[in-house]
Amino acid sequence: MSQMPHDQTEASHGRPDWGALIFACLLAVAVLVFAWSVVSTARRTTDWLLIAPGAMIAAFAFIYAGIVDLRIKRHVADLAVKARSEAAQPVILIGLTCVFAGAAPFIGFDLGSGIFILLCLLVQGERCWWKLALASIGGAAVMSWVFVDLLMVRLPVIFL
Amino acid sequence: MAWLVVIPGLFIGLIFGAIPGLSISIAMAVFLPATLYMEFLPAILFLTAIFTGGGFGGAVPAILMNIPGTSSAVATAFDGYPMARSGLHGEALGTGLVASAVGTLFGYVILLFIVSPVATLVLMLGPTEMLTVAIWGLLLIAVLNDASIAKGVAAGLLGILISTIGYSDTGMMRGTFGSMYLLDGIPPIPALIGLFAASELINMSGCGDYLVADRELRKIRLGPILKGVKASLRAWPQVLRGSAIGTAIGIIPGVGASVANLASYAAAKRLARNPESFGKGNPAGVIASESANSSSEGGGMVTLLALGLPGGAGTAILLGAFAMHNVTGGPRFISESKDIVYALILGNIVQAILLMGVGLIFVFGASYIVKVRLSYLIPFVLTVSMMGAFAITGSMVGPLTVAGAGALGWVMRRYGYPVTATVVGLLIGPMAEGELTRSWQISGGDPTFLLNRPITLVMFALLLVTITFVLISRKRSRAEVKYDV
Repeated sequence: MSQMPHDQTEASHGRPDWGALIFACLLAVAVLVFAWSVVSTARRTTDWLLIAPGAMIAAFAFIYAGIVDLRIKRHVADLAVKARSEAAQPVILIGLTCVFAGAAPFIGFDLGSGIFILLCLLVQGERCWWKLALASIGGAAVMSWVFVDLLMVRLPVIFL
Repeated sequence: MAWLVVIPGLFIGLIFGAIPGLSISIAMAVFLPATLYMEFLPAILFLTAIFTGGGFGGAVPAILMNIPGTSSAVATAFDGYPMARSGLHGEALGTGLVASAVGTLFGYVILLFIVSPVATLVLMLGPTEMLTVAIWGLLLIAVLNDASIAKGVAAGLLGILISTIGYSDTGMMRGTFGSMYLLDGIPPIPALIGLFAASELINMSGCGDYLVADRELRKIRLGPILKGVKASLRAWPQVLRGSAIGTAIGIIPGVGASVANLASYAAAKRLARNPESFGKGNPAGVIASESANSSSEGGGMVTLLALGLPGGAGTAILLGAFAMHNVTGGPRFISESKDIVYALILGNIVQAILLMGVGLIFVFGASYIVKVRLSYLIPFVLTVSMMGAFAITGSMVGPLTVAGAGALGWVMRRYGYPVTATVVGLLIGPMAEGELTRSWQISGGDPTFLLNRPITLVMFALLLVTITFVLISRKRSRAEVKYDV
């Protein structure tokens, strides 16, 4: 069913990619739980007609892909360590993005954007105070102005 | 008024296409909310202008830095970069620009003549046939990516399953977990912004200060570009051949510019008198790649307009824009809105001509764009995406969807799952479920009903043949290209 990715090779040494298998299993479980929740409450066949077989095929494909990924070992241990250390910054950015998404409608997109840009720049190593101030205050103000006044979008804002 | 958006759209497409890592689909996803308050025609013209501009934009870093700005410019780098290394970067850019503009023009001229007959044929299709078409599109998208087939199928089905969250047509709540925000389901546009744009931007963090580290490689000279323009015009048979290949490949749902440029390059090399010069700086290689990837846009629009099916990531976003303006592509749209369809096609033909002028101006400024630090680019584009998502949904569901889809997309990319397949699944999921339900109701659940539907059987056979053909031809063209480059 599957073909091996071109950029990876099987090697007898190195670490198996457990993360890939865990991710694949999580998604497989998620689609199966979703399908079960639909099938168990369905009133007629058409309620689950696409979902049940789709979820079963998806779960099988996820698990199969995860197992294939597990067989492809990272043969350079350093690369794996490097990849993990690099992953910290994206994870922090994802966290900031989620907090921004949840908070902006309440604290206003102008204030929220300013804080979000400031924190993103700090996380990515910017330390020059005037650049931080200009980018966060100026950037947030310009973008909020474009959406609120130019594009006439009803964004929740505090200052504009 | 509709024309006012074309030139900015071309510029945006050129900018995003030229920045390695920022794809045309990101540009279209980020600017999709800006079309919310536009009329339908200017909105689509704006997005297709981004599409057209991005078609050539990807060639700029491919030629100058050996970094294809988009997957559709991979083959452009094979000969464009060696040309640049030997001091012919201006010529290579000029050659690519003309090939790209003529390719786009060719694709839309063909579309002008075949969209109506294709739509008439499509009117003969019932729910079982349309279901086959939906499966066809999704399967091709799932199969045609750099990941494994299992990952493509899994990602595509994940998109379909996500699209079923919320109230069903029969009034059943599915996967809402009691949340009133999910009653309307997952909003597809913020989801695709998250999957395409947010995940890729987050992925870029920690990968260096700039998109292109070497300062010298960011500079672009314009002097010899006109020389390249003339050379490309003189090589018109090669331009037309690449355009024809690109258009034909673009018409197949799920096959886009990424495959077209490689197939055209392989064909050009096979037919050349001096195939050994390919990969060493032969302008014919740039022409083959650029004419094909640009003309595939017009081909992809055939399936979008006639069937309501996206042929790739760019047309998937266009389909999202259609939905945002309460327009459904397909035969009915073509027969009832001929004026809009032909205005759209003619508008795109004009865009191709405008691309020549705008493209020439663009290459002057291209080096300054890649000088923007990644640490600034990421939060600014994410903020625009969040504001756009809120504008679409009018609630926090939009921004939260962008964030959630961005996180999911980031992990999917990390483990090699094609997010394009998920997005296409998300967009065609409702159509697939509707047609499946109708097929079930008509047949009474009897699968032998299909034996009385010869068109469905023929389409199933064609589906199998197409997938086999596409897999074999892609493998061959890639192997051929790889062998000598």
